[in-house]
Order: sequence, then C-alpha cells, then structure tokens
Amino acid sequence: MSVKYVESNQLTTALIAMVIGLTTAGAAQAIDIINITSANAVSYCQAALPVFDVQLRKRPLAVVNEGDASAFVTCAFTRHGNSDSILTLLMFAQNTGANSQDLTCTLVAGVAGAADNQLVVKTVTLPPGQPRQISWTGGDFSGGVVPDTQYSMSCSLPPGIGLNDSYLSFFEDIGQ
Amino acid sequence: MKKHELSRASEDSGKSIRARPHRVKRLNRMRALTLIATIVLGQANSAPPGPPDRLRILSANPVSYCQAPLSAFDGQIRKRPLAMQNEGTSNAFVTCAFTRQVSDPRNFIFLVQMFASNAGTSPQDLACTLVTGTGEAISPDNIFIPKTVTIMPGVSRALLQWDQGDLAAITTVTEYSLSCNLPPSTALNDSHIYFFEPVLN
Repeated sequence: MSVKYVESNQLTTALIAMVIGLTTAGAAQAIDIINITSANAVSYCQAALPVFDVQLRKRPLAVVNEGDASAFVTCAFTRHGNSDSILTLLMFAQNTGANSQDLTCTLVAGVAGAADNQLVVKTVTLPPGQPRQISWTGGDFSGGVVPDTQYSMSCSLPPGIGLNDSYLSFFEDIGQ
Repeated sequence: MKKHELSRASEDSGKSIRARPHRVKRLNRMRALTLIATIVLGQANSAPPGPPDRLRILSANPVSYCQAPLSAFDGQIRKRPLAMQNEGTSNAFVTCAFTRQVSDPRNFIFLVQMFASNAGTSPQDLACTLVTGTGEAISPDNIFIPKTVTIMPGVSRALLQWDQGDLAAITTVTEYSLSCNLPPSTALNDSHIYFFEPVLN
C-alpha cells in the first residue's frame, strides 16, 4: 500500500540531499538547484485517437484504460524555461486489473522536424493492484545524457492499466 | 500574478458569489490582505540563517491541464482558448491536474484558485472537488475537499478556492487535481496555485 509513498519520500530525500550539497558549494560558483516539475496524468496525457478515447477514463489521480483492448496514450511534458536538459523523467503507473500486465512506453526526446530525435522504449510489468515506476535517465540516451529538447511519451496501456503521477527533475541555475 | 492581482482576484470572487456578497467580499479581501501581510512580514522578518521564501504562482487556462473524463462528456465540452465550457444540455464532468514544482519539501501549496463563468440565463451551481494524492486507493495522502459556488448569469469571474484552512489537512508533498461537475453553460477559466519557494543565499 505504501510503496509509492515510500518511493516519493525517497525522491524527496534525495532531492533535499542534492539541494543541500549543491547549495553549500563554493561561494564564487554559480548555484544550481535540483527542481522537479510534477503532476498527475490528466495534466499531460491524452488519448492518441478518438477510438482510444472511448476506452479511457481521466480521473484526478489517473488516466485509466477501462476498455477491453489496449489503448494508446500520448503525454507531452512541460519544461521549465530556465532549465538545462532534464536529469530524470519518471512516471508511476498502476494496475487495477486482476492479472499482471506489461506497460510499454516510448519516450520521445525531440521536436518535429529535428534530425536528432531519440526514441527510447521501456517496458515494466505491473502486478495486480501494484504501482510501479517507469523512468528514463541520461544512460538511456546516446551520449549518456538526456538530450536538451522537448520530452513526450507514447504508452500502450493494456486493459486495467492507469498512468498516475510523473516527475521531471532538472538543474535550475539560480545565480550565485 | 502579483500581490495586487491576488487582491483583485479575491475581490472579483466576492462579486460573483450570490450569498452574502458584502461579507464574502470583505472576507476575501481580508484573506488577500492576510496573505500579503504574511508575505511582506515573512520577508521583513527573515533573520539568518533562513533566507526569505519567494511566492511562486503557477497558472494557466484550463485547456492546458483539464480534460473531459469520458468521451461521453467530450461531446458537450468546448475547449476554447480561455475556457472549457459545457455547451450541452446536461451536466458534464471535467478533470484537471495541476502542474507543480518541487524544489524543497516545504513548498506545500497553500492556495488553489479556479475561476469560472456562466454564459447562461439562470444561476448555476458549479461543484468541484479538490483531490490530492498520487494514485487511487494506494496513496495515504488522498484527500477530497468539495466546494460549490453559485454563479449568476453572465458572471465571468466566479471563484472557487481552497485556502490554507482547507489545505491544512495535507501534510505530505503530493499532487493536486480537480474534478468538476459543470452545469450547462458554465465554464472553467484560469486557475492559479500558490506556494512558497526558498530563495538561497
């Protein structure tokens, strides 16, 4: 029951540690802090087509596939205007069904028309009633860093699967 | 939104609420003044070692983060640049999920505002439930806080807001969403979430 809560607390603890560590750096250096943009799924995600929309319910805490077949959902995340490329993109998902299901999401780092867009596919198995996270970090991309661009996601939700909250962490330059 | 806009927003809310308009207006103004005083005093009294916190507000029109929860409601909802309006003949639900910034665990949201309007010819009750949490039935921080505002015909700045008193029960850093039941001709407009962010020395 508290898996996600614990993970969120771990996220917060890591955030505090990093902020403290960074803010105690030398006085003459520019200071970066870790910032995180977060929201539940309705904020960023929609059905990819009307045919999938009839299967989805957009609840305050989840976008859930209540249909009998898989449905595609597209998400596009808001970037902070004063940030470098993101460090981590993390999305929680849950399984409201009775059987384990595989959730597959493709993170698309890029913009329309760019030649260097990167697509990174990930799959996570969701046991019944359990939340799990699916995440991308620099190591998932060529060059070892998340590209400095826009971030979107395409997910194939099996029946009973819902997307929940997401977190984009990034460095923010707050001066000296 | 600056401090004077905060005050204006609260004053506007008084105009749009039918019951005891003068009292509501006065209370909203007092709330705004209290908030501003808190901000100013907090900055003035910020002795070392703690630097002053900065008021941050994230805002947008509803198409940015609201959707019809079911396709059945999609047939009634028009998504305009400034509003998501129920143009059908029966009530329609809309779900919103606010984007939040987390740079410190102390930056709890202390005020959520949603402006609404009524393009119809009769008063309508708009009911919204603020939902906090990060996953249905699995998060210990799910809290549901319903609010209703009566919007008179033609009013365009009715305000639903959840202030510090409403949000006092929220003790964890969490997400904020909204489920609204829109009668015909009512619309959701812009929303604003307020929090303090530490300013580092």
